[in-house]
Amino acid sequence: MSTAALAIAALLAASLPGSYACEIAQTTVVTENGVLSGAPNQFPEAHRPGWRFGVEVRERANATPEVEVRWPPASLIELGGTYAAVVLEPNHLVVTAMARSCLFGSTNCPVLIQLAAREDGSLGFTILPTGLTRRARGSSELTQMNIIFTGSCRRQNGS
Amino acid sequence: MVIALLLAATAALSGSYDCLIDRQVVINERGVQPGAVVDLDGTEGEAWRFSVRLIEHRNAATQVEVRWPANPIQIAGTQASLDVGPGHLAFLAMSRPPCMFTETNCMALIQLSARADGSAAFTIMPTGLAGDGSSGRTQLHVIFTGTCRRQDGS
Repeated sequence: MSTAALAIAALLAASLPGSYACEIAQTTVVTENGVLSGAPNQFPEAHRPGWRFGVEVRERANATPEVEVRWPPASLIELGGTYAAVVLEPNHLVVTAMARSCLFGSTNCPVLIQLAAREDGSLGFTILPTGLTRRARGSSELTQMNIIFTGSCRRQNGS
Repeated sequence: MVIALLLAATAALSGSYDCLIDRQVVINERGVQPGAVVDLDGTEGEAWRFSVRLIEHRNAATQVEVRWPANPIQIAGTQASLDVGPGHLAFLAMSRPPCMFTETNCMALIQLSARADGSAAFTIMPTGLAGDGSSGRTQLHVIFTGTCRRQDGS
């Protein structure tokens, strides 16, 4: 295959529109003091089904792309919804979502979700939520605790 | 009861603050990258400092003004905020290029939290990408945390 053909194939493969099955692979806990050492960065296998979700990226004429997030309703962070995306650069999008269940905040839970196309047709994602936790056991004072989720999305057949 | 009320009163965000980034956490698709840091223009002083002013409105969201002359991560400006808890706000900063971590547009989610001693803590979570056009880009986030000290008289 020529260099030009390879470049075109890579461009097509790194295109975002389509449906994807996503799974969180890593978590990182960031507090006011930096990374919380010792916090688990992966989920136990038994919990994995609760950390899978679906994403559909749709192009729209004369408008920004739209991202539909389908998250199991019983999961801990309910980010399901359809959101207009901001293009960070070609094939890299970010949406602002509002979690319905405030696991990491008490009144409103804004979350950034970044999606990045890879050359193999899959996506990488990062979920950046706001977050709070009690400063100490039994304390009513809240302090920042942001749990960053990263993982991959596999393109679903035919999309 | 009085002590609890006093604590609640002090743990509120208001006025103006001087802020300094204390820590960075670099996260890519494989998780945390220990020891990785971003050099903000090669200086350790002024480029890391910014100030924040809370602008409160009756029956409307509190606005947050970020004054950052160097503006290395493009969050300067005035934004409407959302309460995420008592004494805790979040807001989005968006900017056109040039962007430190992306190319076409820049965006960051910022969280600001009152502490009982009158200071505030912040977390800045920018969108980010690394790599070049030939090798493909992957996600890379530099999360900044730090402290804001209330300005005298504010």
